Amino acid sequence: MKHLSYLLLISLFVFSSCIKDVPLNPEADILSFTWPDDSILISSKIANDYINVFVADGAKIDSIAPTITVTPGATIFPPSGEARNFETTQYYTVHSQDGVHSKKYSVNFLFSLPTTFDFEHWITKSFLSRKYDIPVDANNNNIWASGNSGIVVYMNPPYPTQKTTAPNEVYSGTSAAKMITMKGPGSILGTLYIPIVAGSLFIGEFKLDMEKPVRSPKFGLPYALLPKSFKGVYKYKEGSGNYINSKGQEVPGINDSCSIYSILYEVTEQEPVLNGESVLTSPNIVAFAKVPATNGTPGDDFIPFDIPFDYPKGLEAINFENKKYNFAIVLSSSARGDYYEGKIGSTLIVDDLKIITE
Amino acid sequence: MKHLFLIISIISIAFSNPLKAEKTAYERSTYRVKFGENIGGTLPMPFPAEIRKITSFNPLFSPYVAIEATRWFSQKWGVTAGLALDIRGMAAGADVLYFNTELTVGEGEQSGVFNGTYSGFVEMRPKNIYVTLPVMAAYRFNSAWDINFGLYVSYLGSGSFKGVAKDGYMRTPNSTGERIDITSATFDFADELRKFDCGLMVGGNWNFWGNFGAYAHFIYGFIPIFPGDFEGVSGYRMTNLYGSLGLSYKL
Repeated sequence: MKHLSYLLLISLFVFSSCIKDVPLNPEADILSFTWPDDSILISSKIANDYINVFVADGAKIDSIAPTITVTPGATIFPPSGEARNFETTQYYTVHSQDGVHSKKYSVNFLFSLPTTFDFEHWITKSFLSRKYDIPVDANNNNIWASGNSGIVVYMNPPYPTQKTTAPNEVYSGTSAAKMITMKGPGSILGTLYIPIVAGSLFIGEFKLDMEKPVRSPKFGLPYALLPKSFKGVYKYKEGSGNYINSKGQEVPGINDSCSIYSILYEVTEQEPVLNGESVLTSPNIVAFAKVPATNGTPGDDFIPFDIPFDYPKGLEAINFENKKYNFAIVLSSSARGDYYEGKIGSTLIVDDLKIITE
Repeated sequence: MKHLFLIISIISIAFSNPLKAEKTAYERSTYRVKFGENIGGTLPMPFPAEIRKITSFNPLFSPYVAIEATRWFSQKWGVTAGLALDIRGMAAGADVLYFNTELTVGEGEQSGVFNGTYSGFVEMRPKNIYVTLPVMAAYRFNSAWDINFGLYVSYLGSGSFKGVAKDGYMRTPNSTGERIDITSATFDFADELRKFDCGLMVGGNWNFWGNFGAYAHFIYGFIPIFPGDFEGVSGYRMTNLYGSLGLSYKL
């Protein structure tokens, strides 16, 4: 036994002596983006390749010198501390320590979220050779997110959330948003089981949480207006087969339905953002407008909706001076798509969303 | 297959005896059985800088059970051939940084390939059951000590290469991509394993009491266990490097 222990010790030593010097860091991230006088700053969000900075309405942003920190060992151009005019999108490139990788960030200053969403502007994102479309606002800012950014990592196209230009699928303009619930990839890395993937589209950010996938969608971006009603047009048909639950079992007799709703919620330190688990139940929600559940709209026409916002705590509860609020619109072809449940083939098409404010 | 025939021919020739047996002062043929434990690993070569620390190592129960026959041409020299059940396994834990990997996820037409750079803890557990044929030159010092050196050929009967990645994160598809936190993920590269291995074998035997002895040998595989285009371990050559230690009995 003693000899065996010696042998193990020698093996460990041999393996340890194989350890080489720390490899050069291949990552090229912006870790923080701030500037000295941030009284105009409402909030900023650093995503993988863009930064959205929300500032107070009318703030002066034509000469701001940001302090930017990056991955240790990496360099950034233009450098931190250099003043730039952020009235238009500004770009930064980060070069990794290993000299091989670089990442281009677009930095957008936004005064507020738009109040009309016509789904006419889309950009194509790619992951290796896989591409998917995502709507943007009229200034090409990233305000919409979808489950596609998680699905693209482990599935081949087509993806559940799509741009559609088919004449009977567009209400006005040239394109609309189409969401289709599809068969999922099954078992992922031994830890996740995904029987179906729903088409989803929401204002906010999608960050894949493998431990609790329902927490992946982070709903909401900063907003400081009082929404009065939520309008738009949609058509929906649930899939033709059986409802599939999160274990992949078929459950006959249950209908699928779509999700179309909009919320305004308070941002607190304990709960800075709502996710799939909390978006319908959080006590921080101050205004809420939801299209009633349906397993299908009649016929093939677009059906208009006009839902007034409900203020469960009353209008008096809102205080834009002292509190921060996020606003979200959430669309999904399967109401329980966050839990990987729904019917394959359920299709939701949405166009011309409008938020009527005070 | 071709190699197998060649080896069997060599063994047959070595053991055939066309001429009448002459009386010799030494034993012409000796037979031995061995039973021991394989201790070693399947290591990426060259050793990647991305592996920052080996945190644990366990040779597991990886037995080597063999029968060997040696044909002696002189007092000192002979040729040994054997047949062994050669189970090579290990469990090794390591902390890795920016380790490139490619995993197939999902099933059927919905499956895709998950590329990324992983940083965090990973435990690899290869367990490969081989049938091994060593063919070696033998040198006998005296009735107690002999050594052998030569080559082996192994055929993989059944193998698995399971792994667990824990408490780390993945950047996908590469180090500038989205970050996904990984609490725990499992994978198994068993489908990618090569069926054949061959390499160098060097060993010795010490008869410490009558026909009972202790043996030790060391193998170095020439053929990586995964094909060259497999990216699951960043394309590194996973080489069999095992020692074996155990008891022998001269029949």
